[in-house]
This record gives sequence, C-alpha cells and structure tokens, in this order.
Amino acid sequence: MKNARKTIVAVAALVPAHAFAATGNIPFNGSVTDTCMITVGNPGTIMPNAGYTALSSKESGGVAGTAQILTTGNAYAVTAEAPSSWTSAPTSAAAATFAAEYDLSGANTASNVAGGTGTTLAHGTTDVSVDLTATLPSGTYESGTYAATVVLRCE
Amino acid sequence: MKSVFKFATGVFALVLLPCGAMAQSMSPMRAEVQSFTDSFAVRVYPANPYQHRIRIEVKVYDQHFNEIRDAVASPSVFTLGSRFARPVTVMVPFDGEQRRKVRICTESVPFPGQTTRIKAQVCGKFLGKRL
Repeated sequence: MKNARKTIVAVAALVPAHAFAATGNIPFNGSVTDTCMITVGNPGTIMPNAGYTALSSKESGGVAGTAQILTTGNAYAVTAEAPSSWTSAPTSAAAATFAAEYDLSGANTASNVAGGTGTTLAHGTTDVSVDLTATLPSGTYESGTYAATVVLRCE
Repeated sequence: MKSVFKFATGVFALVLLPCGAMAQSMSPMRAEVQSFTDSFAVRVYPANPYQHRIRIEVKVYDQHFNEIRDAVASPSVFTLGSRFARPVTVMVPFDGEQRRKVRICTESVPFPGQTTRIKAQVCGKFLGKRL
C-alpha cells in the first residue's frame, strides 16, 4: 500500500503541469481584382482550298489560332472580330470576305460561334480556338503571302 | 486657372478608382467617374502576362466601337516587360454631354509577323458623370 502511494506521487510529479492555454484569432483579408486576361497561345495559319478561292485555317494544313482567357468575374463576354481587309497581301490581290469563328472549352464551352457573336463568360480559365476564312467573291488567289488579324476581345 | 482646376478634378477622379493590379491584362474593368469639368479621368493598369516584351496600345472607343480621337491616353503606346504592369491615365472629354459611356481598351499583337495574327483586346467599360 505504501509502495502504491509512492508510485502515484512519483507519477504525479513526472506529469508536466499544464499551463492555461490562450487562443487568439489572426484575421486574414484579401481581394481579387475583377478583371479579364487574354493570353494568346499560337497564331493561326490559313491555307488555300482545292479551288484556290478561299484561304482558311480549316483547310488541310491550316491551323486555328489559340488563346486563353482568364476571367475573375462573371460579367465579361468574348468575341472574335474578323478583319475587314488583309494586313498584308500581294498588291494586286482582290478584296476578300472574311469570317471568323471560335470555340470555347474549359470553364466555358461553345462550338462554331460566329466571331461577332458575343458569349458571356463564367469566371475561370477558358481555352479559345479561333478560325479564319477569307473567301474571294470571284476569281482565285494568286501566289504571295497573306496576313490578317483577328481581334479577340474580352469586355 | 481653368487647366489647374481640370487637373485637380482629374486627380480627384483618380483617387476614387481602385488601384493596384497584379499581372492582369487590364484593371479595373468597370468604373463610374464623376467630374466637375468638361472631361473626366480614368487610370487603368495594363499588364503583360507573357514571357516576352510586348507593344501595347491604349485606345478609347464609344459604345459603338468608334474610336474617340480627342480622348488622351498617357502613354498611349508603350512597350511592357514580361509580367509587368504600369498605370495609364486616360482623359475623356464629355463632348457636351452630362454622361458619357466609353470603352478603354488595351490592345496588343503578341506574335506579329504570322499569317493569321490574333490581336488581344481587353476593354473596360467606364461611365463619366458631370457634376
């Protein structure tokens, strides 16, 4: 019995005395700016069709232009405005009719949307694929280098 | 005296706007500005998210996307380093109106010299009110 008491006293002595715990809250605040960021990935490539009446990124060998749009708000819309003329072309090149289309994937999805039609974006990261077609009203394309610019707009 | 007053009003309007933007293409994207004079001022922060320097233009358009030639962006054309942002001050005349809605757009062609270029255009919508 005496030994048992000694053991209890010894154990009690070994147990660390607990300090009274104090707690405090550290607040953190932050804000995210409401914005839209466009990151152009790759410019596109347009190639002639079999009849040389159109140059398009949808033709064999053509490549769609790509971009990524990051929005932090839900009130933005995207459009892909087709050009009205060539940025550069052979001097004798005829005027072409331009049409742009875009596809969305990721945070927002859409397919084959006419460039001038706006699509409202939910916040997040959206991949955009842009196609351009330049059709001649008559005749065929002559040899040379053609360049045009599509305006990818987030507003 | 008039120009001093105009400048003071511009500064007042700038103070009302949220400032400071991280690596975003442009911020703020929406704002309402009040001014005592015949023009109002907006400060925007274009940013370059790319790994290389890009040439940026800041342009002002009306609601129908016609460029407002007498609006002044300072600077309107500049080169911005990778992952860098800088402030641009835009002065927009009311053009005789009490309110004017404008779009202020940051534009860049990050990969010039390609056959099909994509011009990135990020446009904020701003409303100026004359007091």
